[in-house]
Amino acid sequence: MAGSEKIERLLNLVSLLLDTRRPLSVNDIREKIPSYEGQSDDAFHRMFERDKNDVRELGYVIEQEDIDAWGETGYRIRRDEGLLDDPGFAPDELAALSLAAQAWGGGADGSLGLLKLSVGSGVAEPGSTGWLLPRVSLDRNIAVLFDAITARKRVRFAYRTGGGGEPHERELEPLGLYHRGTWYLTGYDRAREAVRNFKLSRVTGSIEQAPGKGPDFEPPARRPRGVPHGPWEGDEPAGTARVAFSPDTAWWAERRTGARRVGEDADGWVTLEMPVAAEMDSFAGWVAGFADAAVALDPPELRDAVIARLRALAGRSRAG
Amino acid sequence: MPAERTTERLKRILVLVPWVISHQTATVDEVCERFGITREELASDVDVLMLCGLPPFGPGDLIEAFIEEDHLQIGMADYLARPPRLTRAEAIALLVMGRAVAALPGLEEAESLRSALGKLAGAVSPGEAERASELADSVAVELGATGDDLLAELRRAVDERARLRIEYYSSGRDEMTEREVDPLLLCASLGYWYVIAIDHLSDEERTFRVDRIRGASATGESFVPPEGFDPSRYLDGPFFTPSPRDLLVTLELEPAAAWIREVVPFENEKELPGGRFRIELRTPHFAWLVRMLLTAGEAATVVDPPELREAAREAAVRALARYER
Repeated sequence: MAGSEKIERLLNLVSLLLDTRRPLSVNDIREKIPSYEGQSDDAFHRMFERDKNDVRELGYVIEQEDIDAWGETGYRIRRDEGLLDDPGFAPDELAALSLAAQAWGGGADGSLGLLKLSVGSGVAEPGSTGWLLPRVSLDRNIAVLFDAITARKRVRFAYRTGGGGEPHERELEPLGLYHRGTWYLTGYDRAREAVRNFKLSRVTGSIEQAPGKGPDFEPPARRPRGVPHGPWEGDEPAGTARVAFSPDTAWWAERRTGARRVGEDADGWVTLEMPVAAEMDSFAGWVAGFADAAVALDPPELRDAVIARLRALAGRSRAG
Repeated sequence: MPAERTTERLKRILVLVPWVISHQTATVDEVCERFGITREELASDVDVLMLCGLPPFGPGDLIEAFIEEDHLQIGMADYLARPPRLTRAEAIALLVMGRAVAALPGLEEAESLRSALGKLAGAVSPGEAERASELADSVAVELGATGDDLLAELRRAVDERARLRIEYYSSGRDEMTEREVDPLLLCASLGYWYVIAIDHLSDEERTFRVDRIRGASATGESFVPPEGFDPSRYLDGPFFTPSPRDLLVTLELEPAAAWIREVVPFENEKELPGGRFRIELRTPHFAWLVRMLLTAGEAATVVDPPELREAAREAAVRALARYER
């Protein structure tokens, strides 16, 4: 099977670094691992650098220390720091974690992490099979965003507003990632002087991190509010909307929006009050989507926007 | 072979070895199931392990690995008896998803889960622990609208195979119905929870959105799940499950309605001039589609079928009448 040679080499390297009591010099290592034999100096050093990185990525901490008076570096993996002690998870804790582990990115990271934790404990039985958690798929840009958020680096990307039209370049101080059915990136948009949310699925191409090592920004004192569930939770509410819902719809709209109930008429129609942004288009679309089960009452601009939308669909061109 | 697969395989081997050493009674099938691999993949892992060990790689230095009587035996590998600590990616996966699951209302395992999450920091590489927990604070997953405490009740009913009487709001028709259902499975997708159930009103397998269930009570009867019910069909959510009642719909979307591509699965996408799209979708939910078209307004056009176009027009006329009283 392809890749076996590299696996063999890295397994031998990990084993050697774990087993040794004293730190080993580069030359010691070169002599002891068969695959390093017969390589030119350059090729060996390049290979060794890559291998060290790979070993770190596996979760090991390679310790480097001076091993002689001339500053020769020695390498080893300390078992007490690099290896997982039995973290003492109870079976019910592992079972509860296993509920979560499967859902992330098709399960690879979560499941393997869970298996690490269950070495030395009883076997974690998967929980109830009566439900399936959504698969949180890892967007191709997730890794770079994880890095940028941690290192507080600005990011730049091309974005299609609304999922359509021509993409535009955006620059952002990334503050957080949010997943609800799809991934959202929350960040401070300097050009617009506001916190904005972006769907990662609307990003065209790759997200690039700003060059340089140091952080580009300080995180805000206040955590940004989450991604809105609907137009009633929109950014920068400019006013209050009143919408009447049919008797069968009202309880659900109340549950969904958490809006305040301000009236009920004799037919059982319920009026709810909720914040609305200055830009009312998406709010109007939301109300229109209830068809004849909701009526926008206030403000007049919202009412007009819903009526205009419905007229266009009803095939009427007459205005007013 | 891409480098990534090699690293993934190595990651697995370095967990598999200690796991097998500490679970010596596990059968080959059990090991394969835990690690999500085939017997062939396990066998090729064994082949690699046999060639590895410590210098000078004499017979007494190599790892002993072989399959005997359906058990994987691993010896001479004391230095691999403990797995590496959690990587940042692994810690993030468990922390973020763990918190999302712990936030579900009425979850029986919530307490165990929270105490497990509290222990995770100690399992992460030193130096990574702080960064991992900082990053996990910036990443959140919301599993979906749960309809208050209903989710826990429904899960219990699925587990106990208890028939339920539910009050359901079907948004397409704007009506409340009462029906008896046999809940088979709960699944979450695109920000909502759904219950897949045998619906005694239609005698069919149907999907109900949990936040639209106003109330549920057990009838006291239990049920037997239909033969051949396969939960894995719903792994990607209820939308991707073909139904005999499916309608084939062709839409043309202006940029302002391009969001429709994000909320419904579609096929045969064609990009048209001016940032427009033509898509085809299959759905049994006619009334729901009509409402989506009302939300999209002029930015979405029904190319086919004509009866959907007509239904959207009629719905708009009915809605307008409310404003003209």
